[in-house]
Amino acid sequence: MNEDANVVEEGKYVYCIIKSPKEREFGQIGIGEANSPVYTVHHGDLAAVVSDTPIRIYDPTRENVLAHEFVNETVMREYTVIPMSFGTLFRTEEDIVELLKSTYQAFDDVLEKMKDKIEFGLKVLWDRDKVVATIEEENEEIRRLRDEINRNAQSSTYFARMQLGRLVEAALEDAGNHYVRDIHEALKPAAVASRSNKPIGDRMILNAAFLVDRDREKNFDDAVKEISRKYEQLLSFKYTGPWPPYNFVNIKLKLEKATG
Amino acid sequence: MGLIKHLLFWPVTGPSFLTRFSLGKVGDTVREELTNDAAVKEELLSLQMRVELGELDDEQYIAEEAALMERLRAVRYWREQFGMGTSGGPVRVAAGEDEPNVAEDVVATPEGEGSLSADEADEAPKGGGIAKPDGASVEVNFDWE
Repeated sequence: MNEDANVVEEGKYVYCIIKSPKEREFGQIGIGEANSPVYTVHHGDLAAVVSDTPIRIYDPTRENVLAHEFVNETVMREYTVIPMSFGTLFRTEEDIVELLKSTYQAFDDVLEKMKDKIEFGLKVLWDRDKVVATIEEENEEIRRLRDEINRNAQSSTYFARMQLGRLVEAALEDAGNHYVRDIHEALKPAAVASRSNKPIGDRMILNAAFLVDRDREKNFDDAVKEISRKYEQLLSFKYTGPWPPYNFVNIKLKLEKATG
Repeated sequence: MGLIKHLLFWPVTGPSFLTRFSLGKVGDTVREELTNDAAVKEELLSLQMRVELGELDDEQYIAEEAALMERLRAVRYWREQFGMGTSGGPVRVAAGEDEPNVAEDVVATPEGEGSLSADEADEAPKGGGIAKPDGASVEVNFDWE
């Protein structure tokens, strides 16, 4: 949307903050068409992982977001990272050094707290029909009402059907809460922290992130496998990671008013 | 031309139309609709889920993503016109794999005229932008929630 294409201002895209006394390069994997080199900008032993870019707004397309994540995952193999929000640019290297300097103590503390901790994502979706079948199996009142309606298909009242619908809905909600609680209970011993995000779509009952100590990764994996086996008839588990601790650390920045 | 028509054709008529139309007269509802990207964000997330679940192929994904990006740009444009905070975009976006939170809780603090009230600032789109080196903070959350 920038009409003044002749004057392209250069800036730095920042991916994450790490602790590294020595300068590093991570290859030509930067965001944007140019795939610019990714390197570090330092203040003392703190470093920002950056690449050069024209000053612009990066749309959160899959391509751009994957580029952002790919850099973070690459860096994460060797370092504890504090991930930066997608799309964060600084105008100059001096600005980044100033950020590191003015927020040094806080970054240092957080990096210490996040040391050797990784994030896993877990989304749980249910098969509604199967859960309903289970509910009908287990809930006598629902079963009785359903049989009654089926027997008298002609004469069964609108009211009876409504009542059945309400009972099933309520039982579904209870079942969903029960599954979610049970999953949390199963994973809690192996994780440091958990954060639940809003489920996406109507089949998802859990959309959570878990923070796990690197040396407990195996325990956590096993716990996920065990609980997913327990519910394999009813629920499908989408388990991903390791990620940088996106859900457990926030860098809050003041942003310039964008001018398009 | 009526307001709605202007809005529909904003890419064509937007800038010149704005010079002739006082934004102060735009009703709160219209303003909210133009500047709120929550719906677009949600659609982007569910688009992502549909790819993951195999309900959508890559070609369809790319087409739908392009349409959503267009809407995001429109929201950004209107936020600028209203002097509100703008940003790179939604909190979470699609990928072939699970999507971590890439831009949670960045607070945009617009400068200049028409800056936001505290309430509005809370609703500012989260995401990147050109950051200022001062006033940064970082926090961790180790709760079980």
